Parts: sequence; structure tokens; C-alpha cells
Amino acid sequence: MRDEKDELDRIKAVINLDDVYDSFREFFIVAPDNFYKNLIQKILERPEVKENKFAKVRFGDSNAADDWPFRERTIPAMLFLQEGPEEFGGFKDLNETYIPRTADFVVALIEEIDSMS
Amino acid sequence: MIKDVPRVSGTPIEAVFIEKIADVYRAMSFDVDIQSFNFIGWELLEPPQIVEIDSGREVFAERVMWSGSTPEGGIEGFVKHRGKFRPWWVGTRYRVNKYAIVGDRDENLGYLLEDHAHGSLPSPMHDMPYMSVSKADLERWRGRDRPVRVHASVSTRFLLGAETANVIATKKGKRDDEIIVCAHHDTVLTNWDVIGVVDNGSGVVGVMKVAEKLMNMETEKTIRFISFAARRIQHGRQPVLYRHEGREGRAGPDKSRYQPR
Repeated sequence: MRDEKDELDRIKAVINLDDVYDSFREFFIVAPDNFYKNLIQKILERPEVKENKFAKVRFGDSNAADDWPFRERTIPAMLFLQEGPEEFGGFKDLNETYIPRTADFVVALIEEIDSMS
Repeated sequence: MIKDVPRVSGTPIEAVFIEKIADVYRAMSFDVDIQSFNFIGWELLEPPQIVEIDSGREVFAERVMWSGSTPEGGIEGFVKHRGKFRPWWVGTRYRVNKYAIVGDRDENLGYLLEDHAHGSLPSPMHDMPYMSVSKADLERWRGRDRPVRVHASVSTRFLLGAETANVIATKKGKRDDEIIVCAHHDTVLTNWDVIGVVDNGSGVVGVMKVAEKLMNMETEKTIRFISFAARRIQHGRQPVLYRHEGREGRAGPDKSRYQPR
């Protein structure tokens, strides 16, 4: 029989990307706790990431995106979002540079989490 | 395709898109599971209409997802400010002004939300009608000496048993411990001509880029790349939906059930 608790216990981190289309506005980040906040900040300070000139970074809270139900169950879940209500759902060209550099940042984050016991 | 068409959960075009996402991950040689599930859908039957009784002027109104319907013949009453409304939403600062259309006994007959651009309510199955009206119109009404009287109507329907699917691509690690990288692929419903490139085609492509970079990298932990559906339907509480059952041998969503409603 499937054990949902075991399945959830196996999930060590969740990284949710919701609207990651440009770097001109605020880069809104939800970190589950100070450990992950420090980890994210540390990665953002890396020279190769810093050179990518991410938008102004703001840490905050959220109860609405796909990461929230995981966090509700105490699974470390992070949200990365480009905030700006007037653009939500609207048409904008994908920024061909922002998405890959967001991906670079996420890969760096995954490498850190992967190395944890 | 992300730039071409909206991908509202439960629609035929979303089903096609789900397959295309799965194909991208299959091309990267990941194990792919298409995880079907049912949800409560919502449909706009007749768009909102608001008319100022005194002037006969029609006011532009937008639908608010999960709104109920007005009774047949619509509702009529005065517009009164009723404080702030906090949508089920990211961030903690976002609030919109909430107005009620009130009847002769000061009872709320329906609600008007100021520029509620994203257009959804915190949960499904509201029986009260909600409509979005521009800040300019609402402030104009607020600035009057006497409350403005309006006639309003909207018709909606809830759809039980709508079907959609998450796409789960797996990169096996040395251990069973997992890291999930996810984004929702479905498009928000509003009155606008919305495609959903930003929200959240950008996230879907972002997750694919991460997968591409990790494709040939050995990892300790198993990495799951998930494309969630029904995010904008907001009934999808993903960990509940994120099930391992049926991972093997699942044929994918039954397309015959993705019929226009």
C-alpha cells in the first residue's frame, strides 16, 4: 500500500518557478526558513550569478503558488517569481536571456541541496 | 506553442500541450509520467454587464473566476465600499478594494472588485456573483454625493469532473531522496486576450532549461521536473495530486474526455 507520508518525507526540497520572464522588476523569493534564505543569498552573491544582474531581490511570504502546499507540510519549498500584477497572465515575449540565467541559478541551488545529507 | 494559444486546464489545447511537454522530457531521456486527475472547473456563460441606472451608461466589467451567477434578470442596488479584499495570491501586500451591490435592506447582492486583473477568488464554488470593475469607475462612483445605483448580471457554471494532468519527468539519483523543480503550465482565465506566456510559460521553459543542464550530470538525489496543471483553477493542491501510484504503465490522459464544454 502506498504510504503518502514516506513519499512526502523523501521530498527534500521544492523549487517553484512562477513568472520568470525578465529582470527589470522585483525578483520575489519565498524561502522556507533562514537556512534556505542564507543559502539563496549566498548563491546570488556568487560572482558568476551576480554578473547576471538579477532584478532587485525581495524575500517575502506566499500562500498561493504551487510551493505552498508543500511548505504547509513542512517540506522546504521555495518560490521564485517576477512580481508585477499588470503583467500577470499577459502576453510578453520570453526574455531569451533571463530564463537561462534563472536556470543557472536554480542549478547552482540544486547542486547545493544535492550535496546535503 | 507557448506563445500561440492559451492553455486553460481541462481544454483540448491543454491536453495537446501536456503531450508536448512530455515529449520534451522524453527527448532528454527522462522517465515521464502523465498523471491525470479530476478537478472542479468553472465556466463563464454570460459575461458581466453593469449599467448605471440613472445615466443608462454601460460600465466595462470583467469576469472574476469562481464567481457565482446573478439570479435571472440580474441584480439591482446601490454600490457601497466594503473594505479590502485579499485574493488567494502570492505576496502579502496585494489587496483590492471591494464594493458591494446592496439591496434595499442593505443586504449584499453581489460584489465588485477594483481592477482585479487576475480575476480569481480564493476558492471554488462561490454562490455570490463577483465582477471586476476599473478603479476609475469605482472612484467616480465613490466621489458622488449619493451612492450610484446599478443593474448587474453575470452567468457562470461550475463543472464537476473536469480532467487534466500533471507531467512528471524523473532523473534518477543515487538515492531515493527527491528534489522537485516545478512550474504550472496552465493559463489564467480572464476577459483579456491572454496567452499565458509569462504566467507561466516562462516557468515551464525555465524548468526545462534546468532539466537540460542537469541531463548529463550525476546527482545524489532524484530530481523530479513537474509541470503542474490546474494551478489557475486553484483546486489543485499539488502534494495531494502528486501521487506515485500508476507511475508505470499509465497511458496518459484520455483525450476523448478533453472535449469543449
